[in-house]
Amino acid sequence: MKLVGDLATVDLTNRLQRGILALKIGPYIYNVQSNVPSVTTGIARLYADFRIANAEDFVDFDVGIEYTGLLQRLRGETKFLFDKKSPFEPIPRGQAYAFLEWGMNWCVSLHTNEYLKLHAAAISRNGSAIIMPGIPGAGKSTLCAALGLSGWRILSDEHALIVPNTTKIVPLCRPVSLKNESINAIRSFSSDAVFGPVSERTHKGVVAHMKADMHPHSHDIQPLQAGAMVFPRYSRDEPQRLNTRARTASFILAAYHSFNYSLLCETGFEAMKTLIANVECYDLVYHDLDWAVKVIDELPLNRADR
Amino acid sequence: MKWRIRSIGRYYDANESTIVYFDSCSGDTHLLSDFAAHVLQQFSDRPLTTEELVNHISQSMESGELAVLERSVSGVLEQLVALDILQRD
Repeated sequence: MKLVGDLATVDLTNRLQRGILALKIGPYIYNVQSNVPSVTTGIARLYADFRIANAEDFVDFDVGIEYTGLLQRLRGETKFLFDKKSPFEPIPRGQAYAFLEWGMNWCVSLHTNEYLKLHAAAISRNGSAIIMPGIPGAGKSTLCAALGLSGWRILSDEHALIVPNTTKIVPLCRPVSLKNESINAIRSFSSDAVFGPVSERTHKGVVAHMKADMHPHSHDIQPLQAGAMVFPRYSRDEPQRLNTRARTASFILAAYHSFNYSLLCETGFEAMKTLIANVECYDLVYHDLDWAVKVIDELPLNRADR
Repeated sequence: MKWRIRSIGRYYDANESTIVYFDSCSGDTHLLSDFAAHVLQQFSDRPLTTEELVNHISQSMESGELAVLERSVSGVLEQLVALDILQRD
């Protein structure tokens, strides 16, 4: 199967401009269109190892970042497109790549309900996964990136997709979104980190995405069994610690971090119940990435290990 | 006056001091104390007065001061009404 990295730059640019670059990303296919150079650069760098779907495959999400006219181009404005329509306000050219990634997140956040979706990073090792829910700024992406650079497989930086009434997570590996100080923290953590275009002055500050598919099995689509749920929180001032959490309190917090728990009603409740009843739950407060990675490395993930 | 549960909800009991309750009527999920969940479960068959409720619970608990139990039950009833889980019949 052809990979994005197999395409010559001119072919990639041409496909993006014509809107015929369909990428296989986890269980979904995204068709991407763009005539913005930074988007082409980002796709080339961060999606090089992603498979290109066949022309006859069903496209789940049709997305794009486009200059839609001469005036817009002169103003330096682009638009995010979903099914050729623009659901958001114009985006400054310098933020185009970050908005493409956020738009791709938005597609899953809003339009899919076959899974219980948690706003969480997810990683795995030896077939067992850890779910790390967190509000923006909690430090879950930074920790996820560091773990990805330490031999863990990144399943997702944004969505933990849980198959209802199981503890299985469906991988949806896409670049990791890093913000502000986290960008340099990860650059310092490992020289292996590969970054896409930097978007300045976004509503979240400076944003850069890191290539996430560094593991040999990054593009496998088989669901993986979750063994733990860790609620990470970055704190410069507090002592670092890992504490076991009560399951019922974890249920409520995980539901708070879900995109569709309420929408799924009883199905959501039963799905969350099955998940929480079968994973160990922890609070992790950290400020040193090496320490946090070591703690995660030592977590017992299989029932036999606990 | 009797109290009635709004819907037959679902519980997640992990043998902790709190229990998760899903209210099928509102779609809301609540973290209740195990005592509040025990009170709520008494309503699964029919509406009850406060006196009937206290009587039910006192039978299922080890002997204690009835006045203390009545106060605890009243407090829980107020909370469950405020959460819209229970209503006056």
